[in-house]
Amino acid sequence: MKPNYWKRLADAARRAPPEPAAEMPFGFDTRIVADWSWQREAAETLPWAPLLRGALVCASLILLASLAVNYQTLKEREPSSVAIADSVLRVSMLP
Amino acid sequence: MAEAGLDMAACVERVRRKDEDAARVLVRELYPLIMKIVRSHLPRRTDEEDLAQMVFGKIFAHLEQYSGNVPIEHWVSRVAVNTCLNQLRSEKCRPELRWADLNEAEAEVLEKIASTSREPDPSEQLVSRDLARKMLETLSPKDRLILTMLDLEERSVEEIRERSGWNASLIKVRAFRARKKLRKQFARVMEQER
Repeated sequence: MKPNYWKRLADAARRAPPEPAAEMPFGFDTRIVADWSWQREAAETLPWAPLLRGALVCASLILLASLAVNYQTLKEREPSSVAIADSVLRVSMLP
Repeated sequence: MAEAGLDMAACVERVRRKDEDAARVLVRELYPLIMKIVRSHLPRRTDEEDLAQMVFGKIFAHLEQYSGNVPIEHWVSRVAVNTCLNQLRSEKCRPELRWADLNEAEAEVLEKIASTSREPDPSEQLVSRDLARKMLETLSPKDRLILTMLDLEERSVEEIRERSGWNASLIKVRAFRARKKLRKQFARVMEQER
């Protein structure tokens, strides 16, 4: 059977002395709380922001869907309108 | 984890009522736990303090979702593990370990590991830990996370399940496959040495 190198390495790694306990850097808690406070204020200033974002996404989806559905019509509209205008001109210019 | 005398549930409740002093106390209480998780799963080129700040940001942003059915430390651990996992996922490439990448001490430890008769000396245990972490960096984020918790931190499958939210059989299968990948990786590195 092949020796399990990973197991041996992991066993040795586990026996290593524990890393020194992390000491919180000065001002870390203040920074976290300030950030949290700022986020809260931003959310309270714009309470409708999530709703507006949702509405914008919905509107964009509707726009894209209607473009997709009417793509063929929109594509063909230009030549037919030109043709109508041309025929109107011809009719009006006839003696 | 909580300091004797501190009622964590009451502290969390005060934070929910937007009490900034309570928030500061919560940060101070949870800092050691979060740093321990962050250090175990820290991606390369990521500052541990930045990652810890990211974890705290998520904890405060989603504190409303904490139901209170489990101790706050469990919920916080899960948030921290998931944040680390997302950060590990953002690493686009995972380096392949080569013999040439090892320093002298690491190469020596690896040779000892490969020769079945000798164990690394107690003085080499720190090097072993660094080497084990280097080996784990070659794995996918999930595999790395599972093996770190199972083999380096000696956590049970149940504990990993609680911390990550993955089911037990997925953890076992992933651990089995990840160890297989590491065996191949060892063989490749040792081949380069010869």
